[in-house]
Amino acid sequence: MLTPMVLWLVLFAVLPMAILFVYSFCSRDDLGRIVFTFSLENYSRVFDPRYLHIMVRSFGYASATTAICLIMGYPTAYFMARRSEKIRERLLVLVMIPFWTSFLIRTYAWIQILKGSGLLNTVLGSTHLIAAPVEWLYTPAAVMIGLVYSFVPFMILPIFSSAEKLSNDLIEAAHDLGAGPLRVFTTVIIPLTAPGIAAGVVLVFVPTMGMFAVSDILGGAQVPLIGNVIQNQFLQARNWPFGAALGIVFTLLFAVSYGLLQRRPRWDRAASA
Amino acid sequence: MSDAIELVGLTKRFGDVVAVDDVSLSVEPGELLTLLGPSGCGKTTLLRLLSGFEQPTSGSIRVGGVDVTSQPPHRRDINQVFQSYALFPHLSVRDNIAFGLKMRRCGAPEIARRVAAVIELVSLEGLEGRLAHELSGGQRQRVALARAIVPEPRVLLLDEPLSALDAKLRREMQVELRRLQKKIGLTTILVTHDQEEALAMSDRVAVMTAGRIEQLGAGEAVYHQPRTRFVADFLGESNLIEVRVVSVSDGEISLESEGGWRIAAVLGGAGSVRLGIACTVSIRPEKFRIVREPPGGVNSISGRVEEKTFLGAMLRLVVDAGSGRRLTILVPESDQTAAFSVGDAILCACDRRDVVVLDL
Repeated sequence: MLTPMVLWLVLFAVLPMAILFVYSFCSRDDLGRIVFTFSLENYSRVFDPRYLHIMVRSFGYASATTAICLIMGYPTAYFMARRSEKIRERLLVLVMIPFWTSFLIRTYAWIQILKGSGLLNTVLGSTHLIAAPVEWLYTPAAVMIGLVYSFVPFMILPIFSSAEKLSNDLIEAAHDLGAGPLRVFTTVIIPLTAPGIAAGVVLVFVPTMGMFAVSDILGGAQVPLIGNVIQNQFLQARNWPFGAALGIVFTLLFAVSYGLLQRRPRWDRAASA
Repeated sequence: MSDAIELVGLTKRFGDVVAVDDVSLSVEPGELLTLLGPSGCGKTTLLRLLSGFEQPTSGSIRVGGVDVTSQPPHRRDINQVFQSYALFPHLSVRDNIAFGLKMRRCGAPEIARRVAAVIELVSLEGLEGRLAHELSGGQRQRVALARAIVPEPRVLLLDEPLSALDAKLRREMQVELRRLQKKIGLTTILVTHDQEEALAMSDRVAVMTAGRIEQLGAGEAVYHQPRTRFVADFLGESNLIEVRVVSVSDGEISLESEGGWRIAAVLGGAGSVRLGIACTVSIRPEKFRIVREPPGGVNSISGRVEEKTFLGAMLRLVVDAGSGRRLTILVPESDQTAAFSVGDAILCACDRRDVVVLDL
């Protein structure tokens, strides 16, 4: 039925967004209460150099995370998809196992690995790759590690699902017609797994942009991302209208990038129709 | 023009399984040779050895006198039409066909010219911009063929190319494919399990079983003169009767089956035949005719009609010839329609030339 779904959407998506939208034009009094006036001040603050700087940094972190996830995730997903069905299923379970534990707990676990006397330094020290323990925790590197760790499954899964559908006959046909391994990859494998790549990029990039927990836990307060700023506006600074304006701007940016990336090619739409 | 293929002692093992067992074979330039056999006989593996997707355990493959055994698939001038067609779903008909030429780094004008020519050859005009899923089965088949022949390979491989088409279209495409193949004069190896397709399309047929070529020859020869029980049974329908040699004289051989039926056959070749030796004879169902009187000088057998099946132009009768032996015979439908119904006694005759002695 359509009605329950509409109700659901209105209640949990449209209404909160509408509230956010209205708040973003309001201002606040000294106690942090919403004052219903109409002003564009919040939006002009979004483009304040201070926040622009964080936005650019967030964009950088999200792009780097997406790129690293793609570089790590693509070969993994492709390798998995080319195995026999039995092995494929087992590998898939391995990728999903982390989801059985809370994301926050897993991120805290990284503290144990990255801290001065942690696992990483112990391993590196015992192999004499480093002379003295390196301070990993609360650095940009720790944030990157945490982000990549958290999101690489979201890159693997959609790529796996499109690589799994890729028939071996097509790869052989390309070989047969004179394409060497590299050209088979660029002319057949990449285009036919592009929908998976696009989905993976969206699934990694969008949440990374809004992520605040990882940079909080592993970055200390050293590398605030835009997610942290929004969270702060709501919970610490108690400036809901400004937080709402940041949220709206970001939602719009995501909507546009999502729309661009989700435009599926003609062959793929037909194949799944 | 195209080249001859020479397979020498080709063997492929997968673990303990011998998929292709010491196959040696020469294919003439421009010839269409069919590998015919049931699934698991090794015909597909043999094809994959030719295309280069499998490496032989031993033996060699020569194309036009050049050893290609160690060449990877993309370096061999051998193109294949896949059973699934394997058309690239993200490319148009034109780009699918142009794929091989692009990989060979032909210039754009040359690609355009050759693609247009082959599109005309396989009658796909007007469909250049379509994607594979926007085509009918027959059209996809043509695209797959056009894509394989446009780079002008030395050898064309066809892997069950018509199996996805319905019966009527399949027959049309058999004729068309053969016409095209002759026109281009391209050395072609066809793999099929469909004997009708094999007989309709090939210059020569190689019947395969258990990784070996059981018999190789022109379709008619293999059909009319099968050498082994397997060939007689697999290629067409056959009545196989266990017999013992009773007497030999003057190029004629007299045989007796267990139920006491005497069969005379013409002895082909110069094989030495010992009396008393056991062998099998094959008689094709259509070689029987129904007679009223026992004719002189031919084999005849009496029996009772057990089943009667109308096949259109022909009637198939299963005749109970006594002592548990059954014969299948095919007679023209126009011949005896009214005369026989199930349970009637009939007399069947067949010429001694039509009795083929196997495994002798």
